[in-house]
Amino acid sequence: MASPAMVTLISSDDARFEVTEAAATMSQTIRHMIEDGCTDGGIPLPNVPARTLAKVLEYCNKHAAATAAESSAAGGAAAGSDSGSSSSADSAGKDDGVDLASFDKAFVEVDTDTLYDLLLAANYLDVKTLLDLCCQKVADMIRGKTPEQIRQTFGIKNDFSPEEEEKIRKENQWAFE
Amino acid sequence: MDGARALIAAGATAVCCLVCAFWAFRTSSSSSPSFSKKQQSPSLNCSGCASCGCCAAKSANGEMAVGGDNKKKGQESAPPEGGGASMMEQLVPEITTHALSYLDYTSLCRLSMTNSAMRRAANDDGAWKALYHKIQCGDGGLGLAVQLGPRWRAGHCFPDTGCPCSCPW
Repeated sequence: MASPAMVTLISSDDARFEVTEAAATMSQTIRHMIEDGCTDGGIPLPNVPARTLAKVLEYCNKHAAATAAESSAAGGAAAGSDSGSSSSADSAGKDDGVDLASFDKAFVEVDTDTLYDLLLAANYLDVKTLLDLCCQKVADMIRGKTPEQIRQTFGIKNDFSPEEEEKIRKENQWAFE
Repeated sequence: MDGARALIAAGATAVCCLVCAFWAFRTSSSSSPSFSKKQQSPSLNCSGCASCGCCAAKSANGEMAVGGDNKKKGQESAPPEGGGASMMEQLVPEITTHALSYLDYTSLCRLSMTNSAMRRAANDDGAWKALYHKIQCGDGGLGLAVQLGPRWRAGHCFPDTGCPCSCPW
C-alpha cells in the first residue's frame, strides 16, 4: 500500500503541521484549496493559531482514521469468504463507533475559551461535524440551567435594570410552569 | 525644440528621482547628488523631484509597513482583550444561531433572560424557527406547541417553515 498523500498546514503563528490529505480534507476550506492547487509550500491558515489548529487536527486525524478503518473493514468483510473474519470485522466496526462517540464527548470537555476558539476554527475551516459537535456542547452547557447559572457558566454580565428584569421574568413566566 | 526640451526635462526628472531614491536608501550625506551636465534647470527639476513621488512613495511604503506591523500586533492582542464580553456574546451570529437551534424552548427563554445581548440572540427568528420545526415535524406533539403559545402571541409564528402551522392566535 502506498504511503498516504501528505499536506502541510501553516497556522497563523507560522507553526507547520503535516497531516494526511484524508484528515486535512475533512475541512471543506482546505479541500477547496487543494482542488485549486494552492498547496505549494504549505497551506496558510491565517485565522487559526497553532494551539487551536493542533486540536482541530487531533479531531480530523481521529475521524479520518475511523472512516478509513470502517471502509477497509467493510471491504474486508465483503471480500472475506469465511464467517470468522467478517464477524471480527463487524465487532471492530462497532468498537470504533463507541470509541468515536466517547472520543467526541471527551474532545469538547474543554474550558469556554478553548470551545470558543474551536467554534471559530471549525466555522472558518468548514469542518461541519466538528462545528455541530461544538454547537451541541454549547447547547448542553445552557440546557437545564437557570438564567443565573447560565451567566456563571459563560461569564455573561447581567445588564438589565431591576425593573427590566422583573418585566422579562413576567414575560417568560410560562416557561417555568 | 520643445520636444527635445521636454525629453531632457523628463530625463532629468528620472535621474533626479533615482538619485533621490539612492539617497533615501543610503540616508547619509556622503552621497551628495551629482547631476549630469545635460540638466539645464536642475533646481526646477529637483524641486519637482522632491514632490515627484519617489521620496514620498518611499516614506509612504515605510509608513505602510509600520502600519501593517501595528495591525498584526492588534490582531494578536485582540482575543485576550475581548472587551470584557463573554464567549457567547463574541461569537458570530451564524454560529450562535446554529448552537441555539439545539436548545429546547425553556432553555431558550432562560438564556434570553441573562442579558440584553443574549436576549437579542435568543429571540432571533432562526432559533425559534428551528424549534418550531422540531415541534411541528418532530415528536414534540401539540402539547409543546400549546405551551409555546405566548411566544406565538408575541409575534413568533412561522408559517414559512414548511410545516403545517396551526397557529390559532
